[in-house]
Amino acid sequence: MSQNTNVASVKNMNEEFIEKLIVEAGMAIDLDAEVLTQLKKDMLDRLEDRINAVILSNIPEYKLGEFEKVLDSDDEKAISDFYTATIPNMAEVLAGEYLDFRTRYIA
Amino acid sequence: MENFNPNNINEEVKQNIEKKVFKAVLVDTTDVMKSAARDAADEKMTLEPPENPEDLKGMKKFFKSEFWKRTGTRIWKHGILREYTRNKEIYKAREKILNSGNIGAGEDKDQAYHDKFVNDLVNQFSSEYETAIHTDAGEMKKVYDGKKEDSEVNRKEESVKNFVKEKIKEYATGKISEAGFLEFEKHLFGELKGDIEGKQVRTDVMHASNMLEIAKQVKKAMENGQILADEDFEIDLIYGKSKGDVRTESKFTHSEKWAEKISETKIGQFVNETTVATAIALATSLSRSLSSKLASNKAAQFMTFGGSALISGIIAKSRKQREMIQNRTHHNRDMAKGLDYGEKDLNRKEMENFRVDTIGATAVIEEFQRVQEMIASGDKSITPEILQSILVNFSQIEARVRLSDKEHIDMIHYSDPSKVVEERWKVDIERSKLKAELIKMSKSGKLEIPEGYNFDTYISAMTDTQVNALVTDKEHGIDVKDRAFNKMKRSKGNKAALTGFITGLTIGTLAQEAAVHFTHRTGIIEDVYHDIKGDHVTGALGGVEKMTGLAYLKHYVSSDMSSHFSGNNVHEFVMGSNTMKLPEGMNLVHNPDGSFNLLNGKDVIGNHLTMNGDGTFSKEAIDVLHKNGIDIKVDTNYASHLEKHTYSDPADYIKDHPKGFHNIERKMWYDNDTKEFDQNELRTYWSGENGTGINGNGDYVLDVGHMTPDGSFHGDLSANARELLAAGKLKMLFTMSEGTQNHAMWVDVDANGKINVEHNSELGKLFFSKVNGHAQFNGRFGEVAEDLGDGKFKILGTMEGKGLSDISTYTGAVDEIHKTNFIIPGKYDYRVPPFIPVVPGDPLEPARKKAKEDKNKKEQIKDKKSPDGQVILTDGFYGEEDKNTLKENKEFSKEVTEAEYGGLKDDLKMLNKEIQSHHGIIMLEESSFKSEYGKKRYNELAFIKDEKPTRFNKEELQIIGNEMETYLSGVKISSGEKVETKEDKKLSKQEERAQFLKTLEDYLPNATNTKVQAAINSKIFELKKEIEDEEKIENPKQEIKKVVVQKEVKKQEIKKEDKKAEKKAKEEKEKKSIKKKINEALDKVENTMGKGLDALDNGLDSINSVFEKKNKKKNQKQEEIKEVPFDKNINNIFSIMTDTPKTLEREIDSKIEQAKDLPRRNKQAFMIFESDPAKVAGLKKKIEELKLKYPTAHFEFITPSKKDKETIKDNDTAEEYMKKVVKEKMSKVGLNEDDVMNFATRYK
Repeated sequence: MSQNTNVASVKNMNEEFIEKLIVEAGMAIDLDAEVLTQLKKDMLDRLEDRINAVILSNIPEYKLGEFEKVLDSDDEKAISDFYTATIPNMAEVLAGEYLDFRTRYIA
Repeated sequence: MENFNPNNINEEVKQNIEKKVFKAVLVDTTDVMKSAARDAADEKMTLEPPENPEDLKGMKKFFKSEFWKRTGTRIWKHGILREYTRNKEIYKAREKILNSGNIGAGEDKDQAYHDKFVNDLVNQFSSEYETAIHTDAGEMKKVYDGKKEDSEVNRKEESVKNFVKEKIKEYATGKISEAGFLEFEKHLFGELKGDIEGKQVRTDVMHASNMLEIAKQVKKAMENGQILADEDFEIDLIYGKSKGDVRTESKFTHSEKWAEKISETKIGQFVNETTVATAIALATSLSRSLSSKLASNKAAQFMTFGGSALISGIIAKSRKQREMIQNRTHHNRDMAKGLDYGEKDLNRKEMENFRVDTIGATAVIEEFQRVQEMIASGDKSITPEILQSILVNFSQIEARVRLSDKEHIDMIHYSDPSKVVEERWKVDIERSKLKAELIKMSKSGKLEIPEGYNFDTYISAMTDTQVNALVTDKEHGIDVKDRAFNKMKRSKGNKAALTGFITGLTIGTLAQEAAVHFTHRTGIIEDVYHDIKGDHVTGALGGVEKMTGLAYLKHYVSSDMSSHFSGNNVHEFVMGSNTMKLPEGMNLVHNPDGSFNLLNGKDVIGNHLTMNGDGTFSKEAIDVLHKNGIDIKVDTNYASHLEKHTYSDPADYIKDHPKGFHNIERKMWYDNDTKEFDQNELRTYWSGENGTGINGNGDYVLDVGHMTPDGSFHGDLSANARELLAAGKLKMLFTMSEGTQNHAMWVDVDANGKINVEHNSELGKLFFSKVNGHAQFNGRFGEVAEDLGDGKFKILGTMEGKGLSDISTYTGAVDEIHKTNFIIPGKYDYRVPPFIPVVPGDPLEPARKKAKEDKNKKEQIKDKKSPDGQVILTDGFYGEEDKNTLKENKEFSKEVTEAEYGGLKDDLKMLNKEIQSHHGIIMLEESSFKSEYGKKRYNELAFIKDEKPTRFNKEELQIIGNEMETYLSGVKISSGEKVETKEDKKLSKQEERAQFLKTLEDYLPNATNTKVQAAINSKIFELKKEIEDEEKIENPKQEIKKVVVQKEVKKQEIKKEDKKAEKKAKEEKEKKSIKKKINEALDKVENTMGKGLDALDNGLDSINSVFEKKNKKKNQKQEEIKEVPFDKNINNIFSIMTDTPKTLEREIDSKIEQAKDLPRRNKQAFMIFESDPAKVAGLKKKIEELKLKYPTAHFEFITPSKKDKETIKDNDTAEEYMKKVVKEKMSKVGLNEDDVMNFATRYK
C-alpha cells in the first residue's frame, strides 16, 4: 500500500468516526445538509488538530528536533516509522484522544 | 531527450558564438507563494480603526452600535476563531494563487502584477552578478550550460537543455499548443525540483518561467526567417529557487513554533492506518463504560474543569503572544513593502515601536549610482576620507543585506509591493558595481586598506562591525527592539491569561445557565423560583434531576441534598392512622410475620420493618432504614371530635361531675382566737422549684411542713400539727366557690407536710394554672384540715383564691393522624460548566498605500537638486549676496541676532555630533536645529524632501556644517559686537575632534573584530595626542593646571564609576533575585501542571472537607434550633404586642402555660407584633432562646409596611391589623379559626 493511500485511509477513518459521532450525539437532526457538511468539516478539523497535539505531546522534547527534520522531509514512511519508534503505545494514546473527543459530544 | 556528445563540445562552443543564446529561466516560487498567501490572509485579518475613537471611550461607548460590533468582531473573528479564520484565509489565498497562477491573486492583484513579478525574477536569475542570488536567505541558482568540469554532469545538462530546445521548436513549429508547452514546463519543473531537492514534489508548488516567452520569440523569429534551423539558436537553462518577497518572518519560541506547525501540518495523518483503526475500535468499545464513569465521576469533571481553567489561561497567554508576534511580522512586512499606516491606526503605531529602522532601496540605488558616477568621472573632491566614508556606507548596506537574509529581518524597505524583486535586484547590481569600482580604487592605491587586510577581508571586517552595531545599538538596535517587544508581549500575554481565566469561569457558567432550555436541566433561576414557590421537586428517586453546576452548588452549599416528593411522583400507603408518602418506584410489601419490606424497584432497601400500633415505623425499623441512608419524618395531626360545655355555676359542674368531690363538714377552725389569719393558718406555702409551686413534673406542690405544734388552737382546744402530720391525719381540701364550699376535692398531706397535685388530674386542671412560671390557685379555698373521718374536718390553715366560674369542659376525642415522609438522599445529575475563555483579539489596522503627493513632492525636490548632488540655497533667505558669498566661500560680514548666532553655534556643534552615526542622521529633524538658518537649510536638503533620511546624505549635511562655519566666521551680533569667529572655529574643530573621540570610545566596546578594535584604538590614541599637543602649545601653565584638574576629575569619575558599578551590581543582584523568584514561580507552575491532577484532587478534597465542616456546623446548629413552620398543625395562635425581650418572654411563658391546660397544646404559634424593625432585630436573640426553650412553638414577627402603619392608630387598630394578617396566613396554610383553640389572642 502506498503512503498516499495510507493518508487517505486515515482521513476516511476519521471522517467515518465523525459521521458516527454526529449520529450518536443526535446532532444531525433538523440540520440543513449544507450546515451538516460544514459541521462535519469543522469537527474533522478539530479532531485532526487534537490528534496532532496529542502526538506531539507524546514525543519527548529531545526528539522534537529530529521530528521536525523528519516532518520537513515530507517522507510519509519516515514519519510513520518515527511514530512507531517514539510512541510504541500509539494505539492507546490515540484511543484516549478519540474517546475524549467523543465524550465531549456524548456524555 | 537527445544525447549530448561531449566530443563535439569545442565545435559547439564555437558555433554558439554565432548563435543566438536564450536564457531560459525556471524558478521555484513555492515559498513566495506561501508568503503571499500568509500576507493575503493577514490583510484579511485586519480591522479598520474606529471612525470616532472618542465615542468608544467611557460609559458612552455602551450606547454605540460600533462598539458592540467591534467588540463582537474582536471576540470572534480576532479572538476565539482567530487561528481558524487565519488558517482558512491562508488556505483560500493559497488556492486562489495556485488556481490562477497569479502570485498576487490572494490580494486580488491583476495579471500585470504577476507578469512584472515573473519578469523581475527572470532578470534577477539571469543576472550575471553573484550578489543577485541571496543564498543566505535560501535562494539558489543552477545553470544548465553544459560547461562544467564533470563530463557526466555536462552530458546531463546538455540533455536537459536539448530537451527544452526541442520543446521550444515543437511549439514554434506548431507541433504542440501553448497548453501543451505549459504542461511540459510544469513537468520539467517537477523533475528538476525533485532532482535537486532529492524528494518527491508535492502538488501545492508553484514556479515562474520565461520559457513560453522564449518559445514565442523563436516562433516569431522562425516566421520572420531569422531562425531557420537547430543551429541558429541555443538555450541556457537556469533553474532557481526564489525567496522573492520581503524578509521578515515570525520569530516563535520553541513551543510557539510547534503550535504553528501543528496548525499547518496534519501530522496525525501520517500515523499508520492500522494504529488508527485499532484506536478507533478501542475508543468505540470503551466509550460507553468510560463515558458513563466519567459522567458519574464529578471529581473527574471538576479536574477537567480546573484543568481547563488553568490550561485555558495558559493557552490564552500563548495565543495572545502568538498574535503579537504575527502582528509584528505582518506590520514589518507591510512597511518593508513600502506601505504606510494612518494616525488612527493605534495597533500599527504600537508595532512601529518595535520595528527596526530600515533604509530605502531606491535611496541605496541612487546613492550608489551617484558615488559610482563620482568615482568614474574622477571627481577630485573624493578625498581618501570620503572614500573611507563610502566604504563605511557600503559595508553598512552589506550588513543590512546579510542581516535581512540570515536573520529574516527586513533592514531595507521597498517603494511598493510590486517592486520588491525589482528594487532588491537593482540594489544587488549596484552593490556589485560599486564594489568593483572600490576594488579598482584599492588596486590603484587611492583607497587605503589597512595593513594585514586585503579588500575582501577589510570589507568583511567592516561588515561584521556594522552588523554588530545594527544588532547591539543601545537605542535602536535589533536587540533593544526585541527586548522591548518581548516585554510588551509578556505583559499582554499575562493580561490575556487573566482575562481568559475570569471570562472562562463566568461565561462558561452563564452559557450553561442560558442553555437550560435546550439541555432540560434545572438552572439556578428555576431552582430558586421553586424554592420561593415552595413546590420544589428535586432529586426524585425514580429519576435523576438534571441540574446545572451552579444550581447544584446552591444545593450543596445549603446542604439541601435530599429528595423531596410531591405531586404526581408519590403514592400513598395507609397503615392504621399513618399515611406513608412513598416515592414513585418504592413500595412496602407485607411479610408473613407481620413485618414489611421496603422495595425500590426490585431492590430491598429495608428488610423486616416492624410497625407500632398506630401504623408508624417502630424504633427498630427506623434504625434499619437509617442505616440504609433513609430518614423518616413523621408529621402528626390531630383530628378533633370535641364538644365544649361551659358551666357558669360551679354547683352545676359538681352535679355533672360528682366523681372526686366529697361532701364535707367543718367541725371547727383553729383560729388561734383571732379574727385575722395568723400562725399555722398562714403556713401553707408554695413548694416546687424555686418556690414556684411547680415541681419538675409540672405538678403543683404546696408545703405545710412549717406548721408548728402549737400554732393551731381555739380556746382550750389545740392541734399539734406535727403530730397530725406524722400520723397522716392532715388533708388539703379544695373548694370551687363559696357557694360550693361543702363540696371539696382533697389530697393527702404527707408526713413531711408536702401536698402534691398532679397537673393532669382533674383537680390540677380545675383548681390550678401556671402563670408566669408560678403556680396559681384558681379555686376559692384551699384548706389544711385534720381528718376526723366521715367527711368531718377541723381546719388548721386556709389558702384563698378568686374562685372558679365559667368552667369549660370538652366531650369527645382527639385522634392522632400520622404522615410519614421518607427523606432519601437525592440523585442529582449535574454538569460542571464548560470553560469558555474569551480574549478579544488586537487586530492590526489595514495597511495603506503611501499618499500620491509624496511622489510629486519628490519630483519637485529632484528638480531643486544640483547636478553635483549639492543643495541649492533658497533665494531671499539670507539674500542673494550671502548665498554667493557662501558659495564662493568668501569672507563676509553680517549682523544677526544674538539668538540666531547662538543657535548657529549650537547647530554646528549638534551637526558635528549627529553626523557621526547613521542613527544620528536619521534622527535629525527640523526641530533639532535652533537657528533659523539651520531649519531652513535642513528642509531644503534633497534627501529630506525625498523622505530618505539616510547616512548617505552625510555629505549634504556636511555642506550645511561648512556653510554654518563660514557664516559664523563673518557674522556680528546685531548689538554691534564683533564675534571672535576664528576662536569659535578653532573651538568647533576641537569640539568636533572631542566628539569624534567620544564616538570612537563609545563604540570600541561593541567592536568584535580584533583588527577593527586595533584600528579604533590607534585612531583614539592619535586623536588624544593631537588634543594634548594642541593644548600644551596653547598654554603650558594652564596645561599643568588642567592636568591637575583632570586628575581630580578623573578621581571623581572613578568614584562615580565605582558608585555606578556598585549600583549596577546591586541592580544585577536584584535582577538575579527577581529572576530566581520568577524561576521558582515557574517551577511551581510546572510542578502544578505536572502534578495538576493530584493538586486538583487535593484541592477538591480540601473543598469537600470545608463544605463538610460547614455543613456539620450548620447541622449542629440546626439540630439545636429547629424552625417550626406555620402550617396546618398549629393548635393555638397567640398574638403578642410587646417591646422588651423580658416582657416578651414573660408573656410567651404565660401563654405556653395557658396552652398546657388545653386539650390541644402540641404546637403554638406566636405572632409578635412589632412595627419598629430595629426593635425586631433586638428581639430576635430572645426569640432564638425561646425556640430552644419551646422547640414545638412557631415564632414570627409581624411588621407592618409603611402603608399599613398609617392605618394603625392605637392598640385596637393594631389588633385588627394583626387579626387580618394572621387570618391571611391561616388561609394560606388551610387553617380555620375552629382548628385552633386560641386564635390570635391579644395579649398586652
